[in-house]
Amino acid sequence: MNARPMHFVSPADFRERVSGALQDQALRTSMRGAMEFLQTKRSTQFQDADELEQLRDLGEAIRQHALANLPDLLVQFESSLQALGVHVHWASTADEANAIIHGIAQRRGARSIVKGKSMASEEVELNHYMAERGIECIESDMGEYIVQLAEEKPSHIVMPALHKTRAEIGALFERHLPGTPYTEDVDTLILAGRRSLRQKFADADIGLSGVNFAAADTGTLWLVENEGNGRLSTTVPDVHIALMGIEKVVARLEHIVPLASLLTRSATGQSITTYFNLITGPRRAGELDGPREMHVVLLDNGRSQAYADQQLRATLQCIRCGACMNHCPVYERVGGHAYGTTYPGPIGKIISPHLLGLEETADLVTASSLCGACAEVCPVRIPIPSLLVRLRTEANRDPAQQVDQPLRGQGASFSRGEQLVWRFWSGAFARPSAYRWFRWLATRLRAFTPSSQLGWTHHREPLVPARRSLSELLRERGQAE
Amino acid sequence: MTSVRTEVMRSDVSGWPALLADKLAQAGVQRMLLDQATAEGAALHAALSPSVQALPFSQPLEAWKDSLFSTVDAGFTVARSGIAATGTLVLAPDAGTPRTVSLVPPLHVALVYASNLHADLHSAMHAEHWSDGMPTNLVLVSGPSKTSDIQQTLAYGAHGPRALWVVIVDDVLEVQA
Repeated sequence: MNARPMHFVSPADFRERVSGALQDQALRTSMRGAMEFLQTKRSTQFQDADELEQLRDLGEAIRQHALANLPDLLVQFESSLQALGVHVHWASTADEANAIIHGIAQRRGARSIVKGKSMASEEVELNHYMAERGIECIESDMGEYIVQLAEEKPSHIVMPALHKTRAEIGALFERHLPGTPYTEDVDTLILAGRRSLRQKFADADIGLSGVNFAAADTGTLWLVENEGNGRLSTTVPDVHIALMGIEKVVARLEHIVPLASLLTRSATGQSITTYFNLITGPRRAGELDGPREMHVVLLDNGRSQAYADQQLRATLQCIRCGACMNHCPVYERVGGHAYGTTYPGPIGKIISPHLLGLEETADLVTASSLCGACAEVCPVRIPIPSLLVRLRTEANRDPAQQVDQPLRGQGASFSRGEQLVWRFWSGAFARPSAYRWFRWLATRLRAFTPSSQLGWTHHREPLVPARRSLSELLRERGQAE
Repeated sequence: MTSVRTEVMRSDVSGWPALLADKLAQAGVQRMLLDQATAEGAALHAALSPSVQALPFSQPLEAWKDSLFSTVDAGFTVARSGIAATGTLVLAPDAGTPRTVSLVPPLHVALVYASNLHADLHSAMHAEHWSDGMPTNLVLVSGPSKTSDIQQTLAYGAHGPRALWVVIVDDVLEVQA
């Protein structure tokens, strides 16, 4: 990618950032509080375990059905949109998406873009790309606005400013918003944010939003929010651009009902959010507001790599609720920024290798104890731990090995030494005589065991064979092996 | 709805305009968007106290964007229906009551008939045949604008209306009769 964020950190530096994050007591405290809050909120929404399991079955089935028919659904979605007068664009990379949006802005002579929350736009680094070309992007979601003022990236996909305390936000607003005295009162802070953004909606040339769900049959975009900034961004400016991953489409409008319920209940523990904003095309004849020009940009950016693999395709079932990160012991301890990717936490670990390649993300897939909490709460039953194991396998596969659908960055963690160790081990294990011989030798020569054992000893004590093997000890005691 | 700080008023077919007009005057509302071409808009207009001025949405948004943003106190809409399970209004904005009426003014007042209530979203969607023809914009509203983006602390009035009043008109008995 050419576009780099203001403070680009490489996911490849994950290990270094983790040790910093673990020492950051303020971060640890605020993460702990936030995770507990979100976990409790979610659990109050799912008191009937049977209902939850049935709803998860339904959500999984709807997402799998949509993915199984994705190429056809995308074509149908495109023609539904075109029939409504929406311009449809296809972007295979982040740069292509940025160039398309920039092209629209140039044609309209736009100076400013007001944005509803869109993780896809974070993924393609849209703000940075536009700023370099003289077009201002203003984040209008309160959390996104806060991280934009702080020149940071979101640390959570639903709650972007989760890592910030109210004191930090008070100081940030005092510094950046004229006439705003320091306060830690949340109502006052939100009011200050509202005031400073209100005129931006009226002034912006273009409104840009993400998309939570899209229906192929009606061409409807379904946006979920609490603040109203998404509605303002998609209603007040004369042009609306929606940027969405290609996996967001489902076959029928009614399929979105259970998904939307799973989304709000899993994400923020709300039975429904303040607004479900269903947009079906631009302003029609006789109507007095709403954008007169509308564009939908369909973004691939590596998703088709996951799609092509039968097992990894499940990655695309995701509805971006964030429940996996809210329940992840690793995310809770290191926070979202340590990952260095747009999507942090468990879902980030399984989607980022497709967006960025394993060469950048191979360390992320190992940063899990495979405890399974993420899979247990996932509303659409993505088997995250088994996908992590698969991605580890691909990261450790010999780069020269020919496979059907090689992943970008195959073999990023491959080490010849480790491969030899495993080859030797499987050879010895398959031949009892060789194994016994090795066991005898290893126990006798234990004093010569190397203290540095490839990656194993980075975080662990070296493995040293016992003085005598178990079977020898049993034999000494006169018991059969 | 009340759990998310929505003010709910219950009234009957003849009583609601006076009840609402009284409350609007008390709240100090001065300029309110309402569509007099609808029966409800006309009824409310007739009941409004002289201190409350009724404005029609008579020109395209771009012609008066700034004054809409800065000078209008309230917007009045009649909901297409309501959803009981989640306390939700289904709004289908049209030429007389466009999208911004329920969005830009700091107070949104919505009227919903009890006979138009559905049990849940799925039954509303089916009963109203959404898939057969969606309007440009269909909005499901479940409370005033809010956010928890600062340290998970709930605050109202983020960007959309800071207050939502819902008048439930009890017309069910008359429908049955």
